Amino acid sequence: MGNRVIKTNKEGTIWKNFKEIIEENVVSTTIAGNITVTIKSITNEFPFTQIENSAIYPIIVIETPSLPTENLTFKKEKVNGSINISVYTNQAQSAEAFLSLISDAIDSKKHVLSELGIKQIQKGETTGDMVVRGGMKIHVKTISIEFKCGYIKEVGF
Amino acid sequence: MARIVLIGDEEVKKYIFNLPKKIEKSLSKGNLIFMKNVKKSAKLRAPRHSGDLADSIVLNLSKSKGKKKQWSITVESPYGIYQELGFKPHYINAGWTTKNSFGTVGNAFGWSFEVARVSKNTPFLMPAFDANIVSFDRILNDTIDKEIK
Repeated sequence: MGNRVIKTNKEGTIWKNFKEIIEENVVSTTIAGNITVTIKSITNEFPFTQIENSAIYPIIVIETPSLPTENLTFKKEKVNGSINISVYTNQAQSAEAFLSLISDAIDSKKHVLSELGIKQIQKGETTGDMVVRGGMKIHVKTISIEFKCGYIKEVGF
Repeated sequence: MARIVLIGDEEVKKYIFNLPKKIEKSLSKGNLIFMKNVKKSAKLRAPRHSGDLADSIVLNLSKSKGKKKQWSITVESPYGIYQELGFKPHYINAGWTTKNSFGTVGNAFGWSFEVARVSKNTPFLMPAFDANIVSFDRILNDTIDKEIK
């Protein structure tokens, strides 16, 4: 499972690895009233043009990882990175539940990510937001994941 | 004669010497996280029909000096200011151009009438700021905490 992080496409491979883990482990949750809520899609950007379309929720947005370029030097083979994962739902309860599932999924797959070059994973702050759009409430929960990214070292000359 | 050797003294000195830089760096990082959150909230709250207003909300690095960075959120859409701060109620013509893919105001809103009165604005930037400012101290606390450990 997964792809080893390579220097030429760090962002792409890191994103894909996180997506695969979430896709496998965060599928649905049951909230009060025995209602099962199932994730509709996982994307890299929230479809703002469809914000008032209730059919798109719940949706998980895995943002493109941020890998500060200032740390990229010729000798270094590791960079500090972070990736934000957000869940957009219509119910506050399911937002919390999905965030918890995402957090658990990352925790339980740390060893897999480590083998792929995404090491020392630490969960950062979680933030929440709520807006009313088109007569419905949209609950947003975001978790920030920090990691050290190891990629195949370039040979000096 | 007693001789006292402080083991780790150099490390302590180095740590204290680098502390202001580390704090500055972590404050800058915390600011960026906060600004990103405000931008995201503003995009969620921005009134949309074409999506142009939401798309025009961007985060820019306005000033950079060493590890210290200043960020600003810019709304590039010309009508953003009117949605944020309000406007005097007025009449608009359905035939007026929207300067985007809709062509005219009438097409954009699906009006079958010629003239309409507009009076209500939807602020999006200040509500986004208000929603996020409560977590700003926690963000700064977390980033500083991680940096000085």
